[in-house]
Amino acid sequence: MSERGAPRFGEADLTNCDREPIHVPGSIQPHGALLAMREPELTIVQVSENVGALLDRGPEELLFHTFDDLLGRERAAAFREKYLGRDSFVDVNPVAIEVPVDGGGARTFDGVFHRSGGLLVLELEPAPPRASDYIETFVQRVRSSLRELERAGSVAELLQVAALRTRSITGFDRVMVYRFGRDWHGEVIAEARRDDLEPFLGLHYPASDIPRQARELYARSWLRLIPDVAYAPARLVPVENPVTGATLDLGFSVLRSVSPIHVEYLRNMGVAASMSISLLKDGALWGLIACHHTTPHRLPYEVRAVCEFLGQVLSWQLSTKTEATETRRRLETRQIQAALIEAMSVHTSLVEGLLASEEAFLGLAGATGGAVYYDGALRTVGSVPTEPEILGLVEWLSTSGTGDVFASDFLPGLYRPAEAFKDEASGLLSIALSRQHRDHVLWFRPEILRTVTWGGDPSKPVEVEGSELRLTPRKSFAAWKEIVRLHSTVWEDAEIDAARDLRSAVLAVIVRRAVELKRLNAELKEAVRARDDFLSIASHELKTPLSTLQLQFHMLLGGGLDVATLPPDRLRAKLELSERQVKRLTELVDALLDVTRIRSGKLDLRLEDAVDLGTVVRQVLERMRPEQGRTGARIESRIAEGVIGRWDAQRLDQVATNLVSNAFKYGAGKPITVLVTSDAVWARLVVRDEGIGLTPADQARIFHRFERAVAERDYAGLGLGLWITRQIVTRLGGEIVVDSTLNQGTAFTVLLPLKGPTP
Amino acid sequence: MTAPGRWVLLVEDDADLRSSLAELIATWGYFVAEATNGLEALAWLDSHPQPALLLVDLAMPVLNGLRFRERQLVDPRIASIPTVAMTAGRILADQVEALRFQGVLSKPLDVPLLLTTLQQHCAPAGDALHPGELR
Repeated sequence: MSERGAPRFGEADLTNCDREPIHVPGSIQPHGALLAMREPELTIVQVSENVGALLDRGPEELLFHTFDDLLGRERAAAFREKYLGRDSFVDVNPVAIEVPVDGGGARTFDGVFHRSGGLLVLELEPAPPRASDYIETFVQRVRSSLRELERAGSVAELLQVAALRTRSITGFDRVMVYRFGRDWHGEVIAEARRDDLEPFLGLHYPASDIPRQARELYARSWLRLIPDVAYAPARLVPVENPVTGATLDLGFSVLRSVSPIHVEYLRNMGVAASMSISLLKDGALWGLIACHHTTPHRLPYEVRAVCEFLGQVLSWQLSTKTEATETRRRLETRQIQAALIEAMSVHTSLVEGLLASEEAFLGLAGATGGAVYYDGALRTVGSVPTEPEILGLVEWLSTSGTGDVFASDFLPGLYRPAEAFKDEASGLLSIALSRQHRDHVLWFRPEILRTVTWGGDPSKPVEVEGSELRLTPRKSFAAWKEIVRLHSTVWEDAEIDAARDLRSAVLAVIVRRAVELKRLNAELKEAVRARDDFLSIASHELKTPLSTLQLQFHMLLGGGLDVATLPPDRLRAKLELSERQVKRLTELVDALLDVTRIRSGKLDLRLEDAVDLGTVVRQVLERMRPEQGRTGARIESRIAEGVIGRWDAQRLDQVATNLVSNAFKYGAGKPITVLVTSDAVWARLVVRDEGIGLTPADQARIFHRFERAVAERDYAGLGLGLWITRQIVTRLGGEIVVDSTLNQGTAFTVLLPLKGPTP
Repeated sequence: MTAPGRWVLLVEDDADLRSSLAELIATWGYFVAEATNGLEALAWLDSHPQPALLLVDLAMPVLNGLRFRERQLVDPRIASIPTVAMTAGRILADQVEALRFQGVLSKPLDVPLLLTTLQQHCAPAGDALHPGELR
């Protein structure tokens, strides 16, 4: 998923060193002695060859003897009872052990037990002289150290406290906190040192300085100590563990001899004694507290134990402090995300929404520029490469299998053309929205000319001697500066996660939009269809009276008729017929204009105070007498007197005309009833026919525009009458209802408030 | 009965247009019968000698011009009467094809084309009688 560039140095790495088995060297450092015993009888089966110097007994005097023989029966019995037979020695180490020596008396040792390869391993170090109150003093120091660590606000402060405290407890000349990078190269990020020493703070060290198995060992045990790098290793006698036949695993040994390469490395640095404490975060090696001394430096067991304890506390603090920082950061990110998602759903264009707040968009990833390539269009914000450059990059992302989320702080290392726009985009974080369409969201970071100060030239970690690659650690540790080019700052995990989350959110919005778009499309299609239908109906309706007019004019203008000789009544009939066509045309055009007015909300009412509904209806019936004559329908009207209200007379006329002409059209020539009544508040107009009627589904539809219950266009009319009628009635504050039975007839009832529409 | 060669049956639902058209055609010397929809036209054809031409509006209530033509074509007695459609809308070429109309006149009507169409299918009436008297 994400590629992380790191400062690169020479290809040569200490792979030989990586293979050297450093935790089973078969020897120890000679400042202590080692005894390996078989339980339960405690027969000594392996010893370090230096036992004579410390215990006054050579290996031959110890091997195949028992622990009892060494301590004396009395001491041994007490010892067995107190300490042995337990599973773990963590709680009892170190044990004060008095070993009788030549010439009487006894020598006191700090004994440390552990088990390895089926043997009980005892490591003995001469106990240093201790003041009577040394335990109290120690507890005080530990307590105050813990308090200080607790108080540290930031990770940086925490590490600085750790360096200072470790130095004050151990007395080392220099204490550094060394943090591993993703490529396992290290950087000194906190330091406490003797004033006259040159600072190492900020120095970087190549990964080869601490090879893989050393790191594995560091993750297993908390502390390593080399009191004197100039030591001569003491081998184990015999070399093999007689129980297993293999070399004794000294991974948990406190005296373990270290790799000669490491010793040489320290010598080259001018270090005479060293100690390192592991720092783990979430169970993985995160860094080290590295201590150096210019002269040999011994530390009693309890001081080491405290350091180990500090390392553990620090590791735990690191996890929680980093977690808190990350949580805070994630919370901020979520807020930005929420704002972006909100903007995307509010804006009609997803891209507009995403880029609505430049600050939020760039802030999400901590970027200086950003781009969205969506649906074939590119939009950018902030400092970005040119359009062709971004398009090329998008093309590359779409075809190079970079995954859904991609992050690189060294884009030119992967995509060479990026070198041309390093100032805008040496770093790239991107999410793919769809690969076929090349849709991507991109965040850019500029090149940061970073200066890495190496402890020595990192490109020369090895020297070749003869034909074999001979491991020779760097001799020069003089600071070596390297300028890291074509890199941006590193994309943090939280930023990458934020981009990933945003991708899910954007995809969700896209899916939602696709559904919405489909619906809108269908609606639009329907609207276009309705408009086309309307235009087609309108043109159809206009053409019928136009045809008639045209034919009449043709005849009148000499097309077959001689107007001069035409009987006056025939001439009159022709003119009346023509006038009727003009009127029909006018009505049609009025209806079309009404639609336009209603749709644009400009249907104006001319309200008058005393409009008589009865009068209006009677006039309409009178005017429609010719139509009535043609259909042969009888009209039964019962019109109450004095139904007076605040209305628009012309619009009322239109309502009545529409309803009555509908009744003629669909009434099948059967009687038509027209009623006008009122109560104190409402006027009521009913127009009822006994014609073809309407199905329930049709009753629901007829008030919509362009809807006619009768199929096809075989009935003349725009299909607008009832829609316009309802619009007018609604504007007048009233309502219209239909009551119909198929093949039995239809009744329209209009209810109008006498006081007119509420303003 | 006048010779069928001079008769035109006009099928149109709009009363004003129908009467205007009938009047014009009559001035050219043809005999015109009128029907207001397809059903009426079928009834008329059932009880009269075959006219020389049917002029049929397409959009009509009860039985429109297309349905009328379908029924006409399956009735061997009247299937062969030349039929010209009149329409205010668009009519699709394959519809004309399928229903084998002899022609299509668009509204508003092209009067010279109407006359040509009539001359093509009908022998002109000799001594003009007023069509009104023939109905």
